[in-house]
Order: sequence, then structure tokens, then C-alpha cells
Amino acid sequence: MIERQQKILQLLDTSGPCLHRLLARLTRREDAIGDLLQELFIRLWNSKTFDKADDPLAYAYRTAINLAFEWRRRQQIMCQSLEVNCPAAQDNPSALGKMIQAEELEQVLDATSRLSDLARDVVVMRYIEQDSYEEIAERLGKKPQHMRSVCAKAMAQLREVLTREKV
Amino acid sequence: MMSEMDKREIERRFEVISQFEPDPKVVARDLERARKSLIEKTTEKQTTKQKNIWRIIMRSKTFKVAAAAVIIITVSLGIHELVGIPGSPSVAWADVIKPILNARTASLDIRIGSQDSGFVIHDDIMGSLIRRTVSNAEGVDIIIDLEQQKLLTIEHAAKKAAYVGLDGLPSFQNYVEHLQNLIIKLQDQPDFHVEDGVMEEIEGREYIVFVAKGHNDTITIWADAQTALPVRIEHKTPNMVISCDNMQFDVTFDEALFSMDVPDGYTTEDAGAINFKDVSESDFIESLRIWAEIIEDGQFPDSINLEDLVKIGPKFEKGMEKAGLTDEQQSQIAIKWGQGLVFLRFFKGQGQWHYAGEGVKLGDGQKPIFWYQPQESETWRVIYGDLRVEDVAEENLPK
Repeated sequence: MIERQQKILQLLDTSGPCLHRLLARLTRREDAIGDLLQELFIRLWNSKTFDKADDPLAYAYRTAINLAFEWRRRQQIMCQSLEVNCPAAQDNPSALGKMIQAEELEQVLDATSRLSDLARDVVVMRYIEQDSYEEIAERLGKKPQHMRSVCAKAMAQLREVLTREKV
Repeated sequence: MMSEMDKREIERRFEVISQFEPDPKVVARDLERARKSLIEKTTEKQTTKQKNIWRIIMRSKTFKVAAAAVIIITVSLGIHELVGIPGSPSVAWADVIKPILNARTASLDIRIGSQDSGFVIHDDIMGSLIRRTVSNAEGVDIIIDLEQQKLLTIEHAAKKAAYVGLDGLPSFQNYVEHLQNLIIKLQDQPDFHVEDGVMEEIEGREYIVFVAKGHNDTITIWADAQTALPVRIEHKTPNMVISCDNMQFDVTFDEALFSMDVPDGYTTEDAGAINFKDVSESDFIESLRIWAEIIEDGQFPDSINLEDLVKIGPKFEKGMEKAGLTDEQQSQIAIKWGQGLVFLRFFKGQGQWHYAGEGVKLGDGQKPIFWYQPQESETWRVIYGDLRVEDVAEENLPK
């Protein structure tokens, strides 16, 4: 048990900042990242699949992406249910929020959350983490051409969704 | 013509997102929190797996105290109704209820659900004051002042206390008076009768058993054959079973035990209030929505029986944590959820309510999840998985 604890703590030390940054980019809410990061490492601790993963960091990345989009979905549901305005980035100014049109970024992230898990992971790794197709393929245990094709289809889907919403 | 979203525009937006770098101070703080939390969770002893609802509730935000208070209050407050069991002309029956009627104080254990549920509430009662402890919450005392409609929780280890308002709580001005009034009222019910004379052995001793039936309730009392003192009372309603054991009457208590003042050196917080008055069907529906969305991750719970509520603490806590809401939003949700429970606990419909939400996802408009018949209504109200409500004739009710 101690050995397993050390393994996860080591991952936190080495890759925690990258995972934190990923969560920050996907949620765009600094006040939510702390809780999600905690949840991420608790999930890894509770996961039996994590123990068997060939690449623990890749597994942690995918879990972080899942968590962030789960959070986004809950936020949407809660905003509808409570009939209140959930704070968006423009209400909590950040370095990013001050520079950009926050609504546009929310739209593209919300549209991404509707993609299939694989497509969503690929898009996040390619466009937000700016990984190469080779790196993505290695992380997900697939071939680079396959990743390129998934990404192209996902972008077409995003265009369709965002165009529809624009009308 | 539809204006097409340009691929380059999507890429531009992603690029902006990808440039975001969180504040290094926030990163350091969050990493440290994650490390501490991980160490804490992964070194927890096996014995702590049985989560302590009150400890979980009390350690963080005040809204959770309010939510837990509503559980503790709504599931078990009615015990004072059950001690006020119906009487009959039977001499033996009169002997059994005499100590209850004459009691100035009382001490008893309360179980919600079956005897092996493992969850026991102990009450010491003096007039309208109750000092309550709960079996899975060591070191936490709850003082309830029914007259002032207020509840005080005291957690001794953390030296923390919290007040919860119980606005509109059904009036219990004086405990003994309430019992007397209730007995008189129930005796007048036309369908009331008592079956007595049966002997039953409990732990090697023989007791007389009385079974009193009236309206929708069945009350069973086990009384000592020699002294006629009641030792156990069980109250069955269509949706709940509550039993009382280890009953003692006219116990001498130190009045300080019932003080609503916070002990010296303890921090105090005001945990808001639950309104027990004017709770409606729509409150209950909102409670179901929160239950599915927040507590059960998009699905309705397997059971909404009040006896199962006492086990919900850890799940409630986890759901709230996952929701990523502000304190204010969490507070609103906890209060709303609690209000819905009040509807269930002080159910005013005819007969029994029915729940069939197990395995149903929130939004599934095809599946009925709850139905009941309001007072003086010929039709039933049926709530579906998408939380719409329809009036349905009895012959068309879900099977």
C-alpha cells in the first residue's frame, strides 16, 4: 500500500503542474481546479485500471479530461436547475479572461464536451495541449494516422455544432 | 444562408485556451492540497471506512449541518407521536400506558427500520427539550428545543457547535401534554381496537404484547408481565417502521444536559433553517431532482425510504464536492433537498406513497418514479423520470 501511495505521490510531484494546467484550461475557473485536482488523484488511487496502465501519465491525462468535462456538464445542469447565472470566466477575471471573448471559448469547450470520448481526448491533446499526432497516438495506444483521421472528423463535427449554434 | 464556422476560427479559440497558464501561487496551493488530501485518504485505517455522517458533515461547511439536521429530525421526530399510542377501555392496556401518561421525563432508544439496521438514536427527554445522540456519531450531542424550534449540535472533539432553525415545526409545547392529547384523540377513532393477551419471550423474559390498530398505523407494545411497564414499542406506518427500546420514565436528569447554550471555548455557527411549514409537492420534486443530479450522478436513488436516509451522508458529501459549486449554491441545494424530505416525512396524502425510481435516469419521461393520492382527491399524482406530474385515475396507475 505504501509503495502504491509513493507511486501516485511521485506522479503528483512530477506531473501535477501539467495536470493542473490542463484542468485550468478546460474549466477556465481557477476556483474549481483545486477540488478537481484532489478528485483526480483520489480517483487514481481508487482505480484498479490505473495499476495496470502501461503509461500512468497518459491514464492520468485521460482521467483529468474526463473529470473536467464532467464538471462542465454539471455546471450546465446546475445553472439550468437553479436558474441562476453560474459565474463564467468574465465574472472571475483571469489573465486569460481579460484578453479574450470568454463566451466564444465557453462555446468551443461545451461543443467539445459533446464529442465521443476518443474524439474529445484527441482534440484536447492536439489543440489544447498541442501534442503531435505521434505523441497522441503513443498516449492512447493507437496509430498516428488514426489519430489524424479522428481529429479531422471531430473538427468537422465541431464546425457543424458551432455553426448550428451561431444561427 | 447559414454562416459556417471556419475551421481556423475554432483553431484560434483552442489556441487562446492553450495559452492559459494558471497563477504559480494557485498551482502550488492546489498541489499541496491534493498531496495532503491524498495522504489523508490513503492512510485512513480500515475501521474508518464506516463513515461517520456527523463527522463528515461537521468538518466543513455549515449547510451540511442543516442538511443532516433535517435527516435526523424528519426521520425520528415522529417518535413522540408513537409514544402517544392509542388507548382502550382495557384495564391492562390502561396500566401499560399509565407510566407514559404520568412521565415527567423519559429516556429511550429509537431504531428506524429493522432491528439489525445498526443505527440507533438515543433520546433523553425533559418536557419540550430533547438531548439526542446517534450511534454512529461518537462525541456529538444534539439538543432539540421543540418550543423554541431550534436545534443545537455540539461536536466535542472539534469544539464546534451549530444552531439550526426548525421553523414551522409541528407544535409540541409540552411533551407529556402532547402525549395525553394524542391518546385522547386516537381513542375517539372509530376503527381503533386493541388485541392483547399474547405472551412473548425477549432475551429470556416474558412480556405481554399489545397490538393496537387504527387508521393506517399499527402499534405494538411489549410490557413487563409483573410491573406492566412498557419495554418496547414498535410503530408501523405504510412507509416506515420505528421502534423504541430500553424505555425508562421519570428519570432524574441534570437540567444542564439540555442547555441550548454553547459550552465555553467552542466556536459557534448559524447553519440556517429548515421550514417545516407549507411544504409542497413541488418541494419534493425539487428534492428528487437534486437527489438524482447531485447525489446519484444522474440517476434516481434505489430507495427514498426514510430509514435509508440515515446512510446517505457520505454520498451526499461526495456529490456536493463533485458538483464544484459555490458555498452559496451548495447551501441553497442542501436546504431545498431537506425541504423535500419534510414533504415525505410528514406525508399528508391518503394511504401509502409508492416509489419506483430505482435504475431510472433523470429525464426519462416514460418511467413513473413516484405516485400518491392527495387528501380528498379521486385521482393520483404520478411523477415521471423527467419530473413532470400527471393526474392519473386509479385504474391507470403504474403496475
